Amino acid sequence: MGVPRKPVDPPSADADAFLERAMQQYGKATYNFAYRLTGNEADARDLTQDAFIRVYRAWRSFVPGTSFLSWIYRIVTNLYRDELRRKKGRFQEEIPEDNAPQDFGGAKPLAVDPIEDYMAGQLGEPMARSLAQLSIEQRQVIILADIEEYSYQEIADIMGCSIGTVRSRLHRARALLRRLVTRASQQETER
Amino acid sequence: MKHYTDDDIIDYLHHQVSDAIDAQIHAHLALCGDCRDRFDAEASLSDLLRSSARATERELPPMLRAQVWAQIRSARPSLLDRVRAFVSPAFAVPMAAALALLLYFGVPVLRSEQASSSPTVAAAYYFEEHAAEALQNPLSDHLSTSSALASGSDAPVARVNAPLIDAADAATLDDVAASRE
Ligand SMILES: [Zn+2]
Repeated sequence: MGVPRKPVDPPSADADAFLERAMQQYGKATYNFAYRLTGNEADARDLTQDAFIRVYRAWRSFVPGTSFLSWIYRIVTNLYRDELRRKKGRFQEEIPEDNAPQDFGGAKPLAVDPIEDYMAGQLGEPMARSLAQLSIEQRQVIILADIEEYSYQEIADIMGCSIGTVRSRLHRARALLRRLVTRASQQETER
Repeated sequence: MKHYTDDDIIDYLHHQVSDAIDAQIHAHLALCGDCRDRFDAEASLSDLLRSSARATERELPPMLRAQVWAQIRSARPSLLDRVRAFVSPAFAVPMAAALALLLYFGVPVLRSEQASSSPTVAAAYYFEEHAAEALQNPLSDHLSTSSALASGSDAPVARVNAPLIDAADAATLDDVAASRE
């Protein structure tokens, strides 16, 4: 510390060590987070790779004593959002959040988007298929709250929003998910 | 009797209410069948999420780490960038100029250094080397670097400063991060 930042950070042995250890310790968790977020292995692989490359470049900004997983989950989330924006101008998160969850009480098909169709096909069981129907923010808040078991404050830090937003997102996402799971289970038994 | 909303119950389920509210809801659930049913429904949704996550858990793809390293190495700053970063500003400009001249005239002495700034060849080599190694010894992700060393070829030698860290080494990310400067 104290030394002014050089314009170009040359790859150092420390950066190498940091990245290698990060991948050893958190590679699997990061990959699974990316897999649940994207719903398919190919995207999860790309996302995980890109996230660790970013870790390598920004490793000096990691604060010792803070949660590395929270940091890399945030990186994964941001990369995924950017990627989706790049791929198609319109996507779920472009829609104002409040009207994102449709009412699936009627008989209309659940998968209305080719990507959703694809994800639904990739994920075999009802819960995974139902998760794929949520918006990214909804899916993310559920993964972080229920699978990773983070507190609302930690989720707010990862998602870069307020606790109030985390709470309302989680409530809405769970209400929608409950209906979707019920439907998916019914479809399963009808097959 | 005041009932709790689904939102209250979800916050309670996630241990995100104050101790006082937590105690109130806990006591209420023992008495109220309606709220208890809604709590059970929320709790089973969480259980289902966790069991689904366990059932679909993936191992890290075996080649992923090598691919990350390959991408990093292929995108390494140019030789000029590195020289510029290492040399103090007073010398950077003349050094860079001298280096540019050397590169322009293709002095053979520089060939080994040039090899390290030839990203595609080197990255591909590293990748293949690792693939061959992984087939022989799927449990080791580190041998690729030492085998690159042993191979004696000039291209991959530039890559060997990468991940020579032993998994048994007890240091944590914090230690690594704290040791910088
Ligand atoms: Zn009640």
